[in-house]
Amino acid sequence: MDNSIKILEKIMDLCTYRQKILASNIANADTPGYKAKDINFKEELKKAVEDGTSSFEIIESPTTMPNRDGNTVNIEVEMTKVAETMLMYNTATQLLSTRIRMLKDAIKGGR
Amino acid sequence: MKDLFLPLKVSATGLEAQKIRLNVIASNLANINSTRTPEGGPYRRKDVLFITYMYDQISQGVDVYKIVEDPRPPRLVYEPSHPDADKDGYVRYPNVNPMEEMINLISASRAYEANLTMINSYKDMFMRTVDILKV
Repeated sequence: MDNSIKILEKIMDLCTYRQKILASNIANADTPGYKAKDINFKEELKKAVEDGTSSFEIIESPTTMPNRDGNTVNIEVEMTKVAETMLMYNTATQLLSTRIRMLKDAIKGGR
Repeated sequence: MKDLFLPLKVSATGLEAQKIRLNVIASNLANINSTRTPEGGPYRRKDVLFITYMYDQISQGVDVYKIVEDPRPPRLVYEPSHPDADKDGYVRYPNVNPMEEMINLISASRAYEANLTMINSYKDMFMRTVDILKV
């Protein structure tokens, strides 16, 4: 078995994790003092694949200059991130399905 | 399973908070000319204060902490014939600025939509995960 299923699994895991953070950011778009959070996708994916860790580091990622109330969430940037994460997730699930279908076909021996 | 649907709950708190904000803005606009209130004096503009509601380290919802009154002074308009005019002929109108309220209204409805989009995207991701089983 190759590594692709494992990598796809990590991508899906990371996307879900990121989506949770983005959901919190969007919910708190008007909360005074709230700081926008994110993860470094590339770095975390590398760590997850190489070391197999499943705990990710959350970084503060201000998407805008702080408002008068200290909030750093920019709803447009956050929504773009949501779309990005969703597309990545969809691609991963699609690839995973294809991979599984291929394995299934191989097991069936082309019947 | 609890964690699995937590993002939906987080977005739901966002919907709820923005809805309360919309209600408050609606009250402000409705009372833009109310010179009398049960508490006495003109209507005072109200604002909602949001506070982060922590489910866990990453899932942080939002809650309405309290509804505060705007401390700005009422708008004085010279209208000696008005029944609520003071001895100098000034009427104290609410400190509501329609422009400000409209901008807050747009901001609140945009934030509401964003939370809704978030719910849909999470739902979509979830369904795609389930679809892997169909292969």
